[in-house]
Amino acid sequence: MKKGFSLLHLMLLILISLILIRFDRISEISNQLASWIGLLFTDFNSAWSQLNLSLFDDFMSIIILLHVIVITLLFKNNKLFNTKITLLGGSLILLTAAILFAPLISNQNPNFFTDVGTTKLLPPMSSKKVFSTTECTSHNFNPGRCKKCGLSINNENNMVFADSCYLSGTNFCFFQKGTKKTLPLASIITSENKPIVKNAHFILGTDQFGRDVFSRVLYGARVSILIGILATLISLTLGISLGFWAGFSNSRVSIVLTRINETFLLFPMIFLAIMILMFFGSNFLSIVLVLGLSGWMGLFKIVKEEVIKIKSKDYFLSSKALGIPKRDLLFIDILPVIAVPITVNTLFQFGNVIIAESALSFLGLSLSSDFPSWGTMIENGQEYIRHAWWLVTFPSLALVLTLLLSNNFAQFINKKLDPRI
Amino acid sequence: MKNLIKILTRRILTSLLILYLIISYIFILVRLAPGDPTHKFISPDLKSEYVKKVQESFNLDKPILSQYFTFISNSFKGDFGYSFNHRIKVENVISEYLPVTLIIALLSLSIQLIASILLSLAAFKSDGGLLDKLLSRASVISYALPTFVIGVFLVMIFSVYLNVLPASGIQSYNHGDLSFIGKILDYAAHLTLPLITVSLVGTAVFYKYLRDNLATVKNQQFVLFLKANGYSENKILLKHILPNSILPLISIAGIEFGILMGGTLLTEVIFGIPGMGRLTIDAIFTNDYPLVIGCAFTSALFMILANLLADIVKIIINRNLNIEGALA
Repeated sequence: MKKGFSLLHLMLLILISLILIRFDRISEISNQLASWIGLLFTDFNSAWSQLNLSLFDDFMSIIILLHVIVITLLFKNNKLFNTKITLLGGSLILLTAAILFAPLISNQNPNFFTDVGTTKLLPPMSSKKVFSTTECTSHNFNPGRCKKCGLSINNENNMVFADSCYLSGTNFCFFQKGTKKTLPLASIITSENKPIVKNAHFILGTDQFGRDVFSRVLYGARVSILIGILATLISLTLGISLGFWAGFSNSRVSIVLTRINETFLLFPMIFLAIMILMFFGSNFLSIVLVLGLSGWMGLFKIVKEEVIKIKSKDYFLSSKALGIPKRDLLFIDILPVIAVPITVNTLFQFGNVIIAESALSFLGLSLSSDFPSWGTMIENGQEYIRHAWWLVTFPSLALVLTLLLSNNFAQFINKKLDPRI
Repeated sequence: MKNLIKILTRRILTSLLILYLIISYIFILVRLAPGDPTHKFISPDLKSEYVKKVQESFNLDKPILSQYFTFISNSFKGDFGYSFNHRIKVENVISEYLPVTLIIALLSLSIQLIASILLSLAAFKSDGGLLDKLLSRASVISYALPTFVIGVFLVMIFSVYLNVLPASGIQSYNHGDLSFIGKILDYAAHLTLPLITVSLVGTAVFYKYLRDNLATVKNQQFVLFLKANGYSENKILLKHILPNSILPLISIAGIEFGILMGGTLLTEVIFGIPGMGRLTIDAIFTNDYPLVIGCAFTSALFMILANLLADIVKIIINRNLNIEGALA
């Protein structure tokens, strides 16, 4: 076994720190999962109707966490786990962990509007006290503040965010933006006669609606990477199949395909993407399709040229003479030969797709705010650039680091696989 | 030479075909899109005969196929019709916005070339030294920077916090009162940040190519021969190694110019520059059919011209190059 900080150590470090720091959250979700599974056996329909995307997400992250723990312990002597870790590998694992365990790492839902009155545009590393009250149930909002009870309060679950709070007799006193307010203790939700007061930490601050920037950046990684992977898969399929077709078939088909390829190449793709999204609305599928369609040209060229080169090689001619069907020729004789340039091109394409996706969301043409995207966050943060630097900085940092990671990974693969170097 | 002309004619003809294909795609896409551009010009109380008249004035009342054929035959004459929003000919609208983008693209391309040549020469001089390593790291990082991130950060640093350069527009409100030199300085101040934004990534790409080429050419036989004949290092570098390394850059520069003509879009949006990108986006957002097609035509035309020009220059510079190979 090699010495030094290995992959196994990093994974154990991540898992242990995750479990230690976020033990409350993990146990909460586990309880939820257990009760949900119990409900599934007694009353299937209501359990099924309760399942929404965020709940499913929470459950999946717990299940994946258990699997990762089991796999790490089972295969701890595996060679892969004991290789020495590099900066590249370490960051890749961190990114994967951030994507898989986002519901466990982040404090709150990325779309949770905390409270516009007291928690909007908080700087990084600030924290607030949170407690719930039953003082007033139906709020009448004057922007930011309820007219009836005079509190700055969250509308949905009556949560109050305060700078500090203390108990004096039967009254509960707290400060909101420097003004002291009191509520009777009876109206505060308590356990064993003590008010339940939690700390809410905003590591990277909050945005103009009081949403936590940290969780938005974290969830934004999922959106960007999922779109990147799906769009790259589409361009990969298109590029390889059309390139193979153009290289393999007669000259007429080849010329038509090459002209189509040139048209796409000469057409400014961001233009086409904007038009399609603008005219036909932007949902997840259309963004993936547009980005996938706009990225197959490079692969097409590579595959076509390589296929034409291979076509005159002896081994290929002999396979063809043996009567092997075309599909098998592609998978046996051609794909293994062109695997390296395809892999490298695909990885670079992945970076380009992420850039294009965030550029589209920067122009306001991407998904709705239910899906926090880095580009959208940067675009929104631009308006508050004078007062809140963190709104722009952290999403940009995440975006640039991800791109650097994918480019470096592509170069690493290129070096590893290229026989000439 | 005869061969060259034959290939060039073929090339120009296919380019025309591609141009025609592109505007046809756009025509179809635009017509498939939901939304009626005449809608905002029609009051709900208007009588139906007047509604017809409004639609007639936009040439949207005829069947789609005949619209397509008139459009195609007009477009070959260079006539794209009247813009719905600007109410003047599309060509006139574009000729108003095109110069800004053209100037930015040309300036940016020259900045990219000059900066990358100077930087790669400096890196080449300190072969393997600190500067070389630093620059290669910087080029890798700037390759991963999206344009709009660069733009937003430049605005944040230089316009908001340091307050030294203007954040938007291409001239100040008192531009007319300034002296001649003042006007030039005003333009320069407004264009500094957009030009940096547009040029940074391209500079990194050019730098990488040029640095690699310099290293390759340096190891070739003729350099050794020159050295043996006692030429000075600087003379060899500037007169022999550099020209030989720049050659492959020309075709990339052509493609880069084409990209710039269509790709300054985000920069124009961030810095509020009245160029083609802004015009295109506005046209798309307001369903201005003729203008959308005109913009797409212009940017595709420049892309094709830039590619063609790069190929021709490549052939002229290097006569020994295999013409078939260069244009394939």
